[in-house]
Amino acid sequence: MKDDKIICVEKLSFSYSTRATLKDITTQFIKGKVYGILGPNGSGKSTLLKNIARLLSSEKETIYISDKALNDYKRKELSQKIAVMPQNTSIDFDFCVEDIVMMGRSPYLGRFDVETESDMEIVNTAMNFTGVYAFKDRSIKEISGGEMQRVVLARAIAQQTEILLLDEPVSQLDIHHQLSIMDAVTKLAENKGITVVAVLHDLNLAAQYCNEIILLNDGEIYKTGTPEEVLTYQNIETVYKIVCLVQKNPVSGKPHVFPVKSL
Amino acid sequence: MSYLRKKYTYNLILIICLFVLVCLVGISGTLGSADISFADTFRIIFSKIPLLKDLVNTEDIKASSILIITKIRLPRIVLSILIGMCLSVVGTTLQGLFRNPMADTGVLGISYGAGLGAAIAIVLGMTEYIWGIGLSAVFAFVGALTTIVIVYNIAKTNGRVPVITLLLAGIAISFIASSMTQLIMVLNRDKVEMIVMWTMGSLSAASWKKVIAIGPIIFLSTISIIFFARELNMISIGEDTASSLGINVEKTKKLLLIICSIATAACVSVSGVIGFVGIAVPHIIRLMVGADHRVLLPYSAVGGALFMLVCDTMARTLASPADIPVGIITSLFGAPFFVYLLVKKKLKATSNG
Repeated sequence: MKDDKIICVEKLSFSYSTRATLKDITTQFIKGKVYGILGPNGSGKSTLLKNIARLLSSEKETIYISDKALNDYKRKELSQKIAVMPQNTSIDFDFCVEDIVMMGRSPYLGRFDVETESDMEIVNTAMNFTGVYAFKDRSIKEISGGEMQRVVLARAIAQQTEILLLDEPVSQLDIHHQLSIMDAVTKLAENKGITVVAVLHDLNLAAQYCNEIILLNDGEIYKTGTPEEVLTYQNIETVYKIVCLVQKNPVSGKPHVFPVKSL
Repeated sequence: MSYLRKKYTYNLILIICLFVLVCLVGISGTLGSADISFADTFRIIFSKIPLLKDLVNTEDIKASSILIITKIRLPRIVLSILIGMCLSVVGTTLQGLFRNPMADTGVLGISYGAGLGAAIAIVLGMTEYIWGIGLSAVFAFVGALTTIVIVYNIAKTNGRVPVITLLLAGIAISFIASSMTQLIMVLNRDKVEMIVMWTMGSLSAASWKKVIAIGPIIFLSTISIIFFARELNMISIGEDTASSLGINVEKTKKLLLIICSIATAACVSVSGVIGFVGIAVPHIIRLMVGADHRVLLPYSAVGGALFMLVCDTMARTLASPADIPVGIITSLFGAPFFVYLLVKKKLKATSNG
């Protein structure tokens, strides 16, 4: 069904200067699924995410969101459609946690508008969802990197968009918060039909939580499909240049990668 | 505490600060070589305000006192308030916009461009006045705007203006402009004194005409910048974040830069280059109320006005009857504060590492 395709990428190529970072990427994202973008350093994962978020843009129309060309969206309209959690979440200025999460409501506010009770409620729910409500009055300069990641995720959730783009959302989190954030994100996809696209480094986390995996290698799609289809020892060996063993996780039944050594 | 829940407290304190400002206007009015009492000063001021003038009687006050207050001191006080407010708000805006605590009109070259413009006008002998505004002021205005256009275009790459490039271009052009001003001074020793007033900043030539000429510009730009507070908050935490929250970052940057440049040009054209107000005041206010521009901007406006009024009152009374260029006073206050910030940062770094 065509309606289910919320993001379509058709022959996307992008280069920062002369060296091509993305080459001829064609892929689709179905509503309500969790996607993992995997690949070694420099394979173009974040670049792909930033292109979808229009933080980087090529002149050619290659990306469509809900059948409308990405470049035809107004900034504000797009921010009601796509929320982004950036890789670098550190902030130099002194804001309190709640004010940062409240910024997620700004796509819905005009220049002279004031945040309403319902905005407050949405923000409170989002803060509870990622477990940052307890320290909502603290300054963001006093909280840890992992706490900051959860604050920024709460802001993205408060944006109430159909698409959530996460650039390494769990890179600074301990194992408990890694799982709780991924559980939460999966719940958003299942219950609210939000499409989640996350750049991840941890193959096993991706295998466990993602419906679909896009494996990038040197700016090109090497393989897409379910975790079982993509995370085979041959694929991992070629792309990551490591020797590994892939077995079935006895609990989830998903593939589990045991790295052995680098090639 | 979040902004929304502290809003009323913030407003209350702001009103108190405004009240303090009004008191300071009175105190500043009484200070000076002519001896005029505090009460008389206020009666004279009130007698000039439309609704209040029937309530006060100024018949027993000497005509010369009224003249000194209304024609000499008051325009200077009002001008210092306007300029302090403007420089401080512009400094706050540029620091947020470029996420750089050093950003200021000086660093971007706007001030020095204005100084160069004025120096050229003085050397060319253009001392005519149009509606009380000297041609040198007009040249300063043009100089400021020309500089920012040059700096902006040097920094522009592929339709974007990276912060670091903009600041570096600004610093480079600042040096060129200030060296050229100094060269002009060396070659025209007879006019050094006039040019010096521009490069050091002084309000000694204040008049109501100047207040009327720049007042609306400064007032409008300050108000419009305050309406951009939410955008500034988001840009100050990162340009990509601001974009994904629905802000057209490049457009906002350009618009705010234009407003800031015009406002600064207006200031410099009547007072010369007054340093450190745009850096010191926003930093002090940020330490007190945090980085939220919805609070920071109005407080910076009032704080800048207070700071400038105190500095200018000192400038005209400390060595009376001589008039110290106010830029010297603000720098004498501002520079040590900068050292303090650096030392504090250094201590923090050592205690963490």
